[in-house]
Amino acid sequence: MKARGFAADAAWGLILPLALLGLWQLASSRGWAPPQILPAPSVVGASFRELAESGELASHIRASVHRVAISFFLGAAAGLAVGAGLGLSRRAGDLFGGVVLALNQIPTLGWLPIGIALVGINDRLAILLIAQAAFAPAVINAQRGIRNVPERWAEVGRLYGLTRAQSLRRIVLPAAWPQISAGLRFGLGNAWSGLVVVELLIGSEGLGYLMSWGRQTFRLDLVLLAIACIGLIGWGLDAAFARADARLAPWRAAGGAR
Amino acid sequence: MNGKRTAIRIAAWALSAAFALGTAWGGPLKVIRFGYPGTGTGGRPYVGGSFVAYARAAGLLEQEFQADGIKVEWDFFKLAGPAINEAFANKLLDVSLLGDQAAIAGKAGGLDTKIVLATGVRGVTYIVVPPDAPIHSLQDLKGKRVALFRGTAIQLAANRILEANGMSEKDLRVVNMDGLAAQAALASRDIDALFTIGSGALQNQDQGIGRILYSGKGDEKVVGYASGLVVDGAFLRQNPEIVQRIVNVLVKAAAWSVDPKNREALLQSWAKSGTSYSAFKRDLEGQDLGAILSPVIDDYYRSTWKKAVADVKRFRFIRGDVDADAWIDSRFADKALKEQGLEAQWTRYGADGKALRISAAAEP
Repeated sequence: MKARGFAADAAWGLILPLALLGLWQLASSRGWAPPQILPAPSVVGASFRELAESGELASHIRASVHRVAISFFLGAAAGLAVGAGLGLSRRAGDLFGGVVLALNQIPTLGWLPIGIALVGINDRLAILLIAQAAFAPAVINAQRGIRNVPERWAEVGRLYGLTRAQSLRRIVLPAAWPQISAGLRFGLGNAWSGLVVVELLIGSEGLGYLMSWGRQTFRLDLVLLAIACIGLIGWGLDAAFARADARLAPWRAAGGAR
Repeated sequence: MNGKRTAIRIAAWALSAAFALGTAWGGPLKVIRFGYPGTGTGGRPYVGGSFVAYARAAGLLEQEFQADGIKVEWDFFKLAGPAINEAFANKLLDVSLLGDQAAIAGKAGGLDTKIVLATGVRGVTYIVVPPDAPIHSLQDLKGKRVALFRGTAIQLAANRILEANGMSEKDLRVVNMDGLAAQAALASRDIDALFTIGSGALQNQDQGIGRILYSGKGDEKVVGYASGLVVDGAFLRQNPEIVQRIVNVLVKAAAWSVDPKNREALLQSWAKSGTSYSAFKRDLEGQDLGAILSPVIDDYYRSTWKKAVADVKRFRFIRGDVDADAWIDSRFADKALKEQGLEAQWTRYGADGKALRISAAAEP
């Protein structure tokens, strides 16, 4: 029953991508757009094989994933710490919550000028901007998740004589986790898309770089290839996060704090 | 909702494509869309450094076509050659000045273009560093943040210079920036060096933000970059007489530009771009203006493009090949020079860059 459900889901999920692929093929074979601007899927496929065989594609992907891994870890860890602080202390939350919300409205691109002024155009800029993209959602969701744990549940903990540490671990964390994890997941997606913005400007490696290089040398096939890789890897990261979350958060696997 | 929006977008795109086709095919020519890589300071629509820039400043093409009711629309591309290729692909341009690397990338990508006039050859590339930077040789650039404008003639020139000195782009931390952005980044020390072509380097020196680490003047090891007048293939086939008139005007502008008695006026016209008169003046110092601003498609011009194609391939900036001889069409330039009696005005150079002996008829 469950397996069939999965297969059906997958089939439904494939309809749109396949339709887009068909439309792309049709558009290029009918010449709706100039072939230099919209190369045929086969041309992009050939570029994929060429770059995959030379190892170039792997090194771009490695560079991008590496950048995002470091930055996401830093941004998410800092975000969780700050968010937990803001969630646990009502006063801190009232003081700083608004600022964090406001900062969250600024897209990665908006941080670029001040980021350049702060650290210059280098890898530190990439890490700063991508970490920032993961930081704000982590803070906001950790804060809200913790704040939204019903007061009565904490009272139950006190009745059972739990210490503060025990109550945090047994009650607050499981209850707040769905939102915390949603924040992290959103932050990961943010970080991945922010990466492209940063790589368009700096560096000589990475999928964003491949994209800008393709445009500069009038090889739109490379641009489309980079877009496809960014989309697929972003989707893969999200799926991997969801899986890891289900496996690693024990209270989730056990049915959660219902 | 979303589908509706997409449909509207597709319709809008189709409409604009139809317009583009309409202007390309429909009726008598009403407008010539002329492209130029780069803008003046702060995006102003004037440039310097070529006889085309002078023709623009003096409005020569506008005068030529005014009586026919044909407008000349200039489009200055901040993103230079790469964006010009996109404009050609979308049929948004008829004619453009274009540097070697971008023109070759466009041709290799399948653009239907022809080169009908030489607009510059033996181009000089500079490397500029902050005045007090501890960078005194090309080797000192290793590991430094260096701006170069990818996909333009600057990139090909930079790769040639690096190669001649046993280096490659991989030895640098390359930042991709257009010329004006790179100048600003150098002033704020966000980069350690920049590659540039033309007078911007000398302007930086004047402003006290730059010291010239390397100048391509007289560097025999490195081939100077070339540029040409690139015409859309369909435009050329439908309007050969218009292309001939464009070339005629520009050849006349070239003859005026290399005449020593017009030097002051030429530099003043270039200074409309915002780069200073003195920067242009010093950029030209020690150079043979007649040679670098020659509109003549001679063996040297052809060989420069062939070398550029070979180098662009070797640096793996393009896939495939470009047949420079079939691409460069010298009929228009030859005719213009003959009709204006300017054949003896310019020295013709052989493929090796050495002046050919002028034919007996032209000798006194």
